[in-house]
Amino acid sequence: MKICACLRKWPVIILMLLAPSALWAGDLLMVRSQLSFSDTQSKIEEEINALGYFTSTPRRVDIDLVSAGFSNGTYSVIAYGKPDKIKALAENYPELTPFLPPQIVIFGERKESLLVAMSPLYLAEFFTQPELIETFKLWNRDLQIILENVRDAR
Amino acid sequence: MGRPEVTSDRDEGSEGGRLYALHCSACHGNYGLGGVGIPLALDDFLESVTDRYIALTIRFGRPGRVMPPFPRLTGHEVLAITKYIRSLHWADEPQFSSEPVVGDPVAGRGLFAAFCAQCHGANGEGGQGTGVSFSRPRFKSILAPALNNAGFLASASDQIIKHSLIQGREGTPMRSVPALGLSEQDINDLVSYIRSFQNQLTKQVIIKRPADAVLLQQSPYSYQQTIENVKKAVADSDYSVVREQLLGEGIIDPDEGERKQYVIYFANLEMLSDGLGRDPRIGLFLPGKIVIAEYEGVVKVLTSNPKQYAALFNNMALNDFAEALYRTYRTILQAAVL
Ligand code: HEC
Ligand code: HEC
Repeated sequence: MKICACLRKWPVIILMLLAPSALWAGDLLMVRSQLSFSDTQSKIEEEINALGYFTSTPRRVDIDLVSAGFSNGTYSVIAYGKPDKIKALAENYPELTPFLPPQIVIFGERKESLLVAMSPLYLAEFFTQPELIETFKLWNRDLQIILENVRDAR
Repeated sequence: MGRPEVTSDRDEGSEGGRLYALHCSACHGNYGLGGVGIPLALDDFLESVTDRYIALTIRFGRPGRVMPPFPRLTGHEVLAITKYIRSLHWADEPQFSSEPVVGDPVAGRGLFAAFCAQCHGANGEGGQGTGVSFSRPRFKSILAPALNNAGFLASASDQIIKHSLIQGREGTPMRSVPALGLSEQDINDLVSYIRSFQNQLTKQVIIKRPADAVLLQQSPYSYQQTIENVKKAVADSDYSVVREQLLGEGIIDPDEGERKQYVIYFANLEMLSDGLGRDPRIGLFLPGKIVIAEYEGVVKVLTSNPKQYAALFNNMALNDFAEALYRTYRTILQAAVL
């Protein structure tokens, strides 16, 4: 591939600004589901439970928002976790508590839905205890499976 | 404005199709029809850009403009995704010379203010919002991308920009510039003005990620008293407690013995509508959440640090909101332990 003029002229500044860093890569997991909002909500609960996690009742956060002028403010939050694990983490690592239990946000977008979650690996950059890293890796693997299954559901 | 139709024989089963579904479709829609991100399956788009442009855009993303960089994809994977996007349209990759476009950026500046700024912003900063239907009512048309963006400027050659202006993007609000009555010299001037945005890049606010993911205060009060203090501090800051519960309620059995991690959720309408209006994904962190936890006899008040939100979502429209939320959290935390 030939190098375009812009890169020859501005190699240093632009490439410095864009230097690939771990900064944004994969910190956020986002997936589009072909199912409606409510079907996505039940599907995700099903997939979470299938991996042995418990789910909280989905919280609808959008109730006031429609009246505040949002069109299509369908949006809910599901928290999930394995009870013993969440309990133990909360007791032993108080600084992790603002991120417990992990959550997935669901938005209705036309006939489809969007799922957004923080990558558990993101936390590994701040909480470096080996036990936690292991947990984040496991959560990440499971969350990927959950999100991909919801994404592929028809 | 209508959205584009799919007409070509795309191949979703291919490696590129699979990777696209995994990394891109959440924003650009299945089959590249657009959503949070602009549509990619447009004839005029694919006739205006090279594979190299697409590949570099994947690598660099658009810093601060939601589109993330993908530094962890291999070269092979980037190529596969590029091929898949190319397959959304029947025509071959266009070929452009690498000649820089010579024009007068000062003249271009005037033309930009007159013809382009209403959509792309006075300084090429792009339209406001993320395009999720939540923050952008769905009757609104496709968002104008930022042109003063390091990711865009590093990916687009002068000739790609010039060709994009001549061609326009049918199916989006972006019109062909000659159709506006502008000459080739005007177009060259516009291209050199857009190119000159590079000079300001180093002055741009770049999103920074803070060193700490949590804000924390130690409380001299008892666990119970600290909970009361937090609730009072929330009310004093003009927010309402919308929910309070033991951490993990609904997941951890209430009979599991005594636990000392309590969560207070708080909000007001302004906070919710401002945050979600800028980027609905901030819903991951709204309403506000404060944890009171006792650990080895010490009571702590904790929240996630809002200063990481803009970086997490790669959205500089969240900068002010996150800064304001940071100050709110600090005020509440400090008041609670005073
Ligand atoms: C009515 C709104 C509007 C106006 C006016 C407008 N644009 Fe655009 N422009 C857009 C939109 C929307 C897109 C994205 C189209 C797409 O989905 O590919 C775009 C795309 C572009 C692109 C390609 C950017 C990219 O990331 O691919 C360039 C370059 C551009 N416009 C330059 C200009 C210039 C120069 C002018 C003034 C002559 C102008 N635009 C006027 C809305 C507008
Ligand atoms: C989190 C949402 C998001 C994801 C994920 C995402 N994009 Fe984007 N993309 C955007 C947005 C938003 C823009 C427009 C930026 C702007 O408005 O300045 C964009 C712009 C682009 C452009 C420039 C289009 C043009 O008209 O010049 C390309 C190409 C692109 N994305 C390809 C991809 C590919 C390929 C992937 C997957 C590897 C991907 N994007 C993943 C949101 C996203």
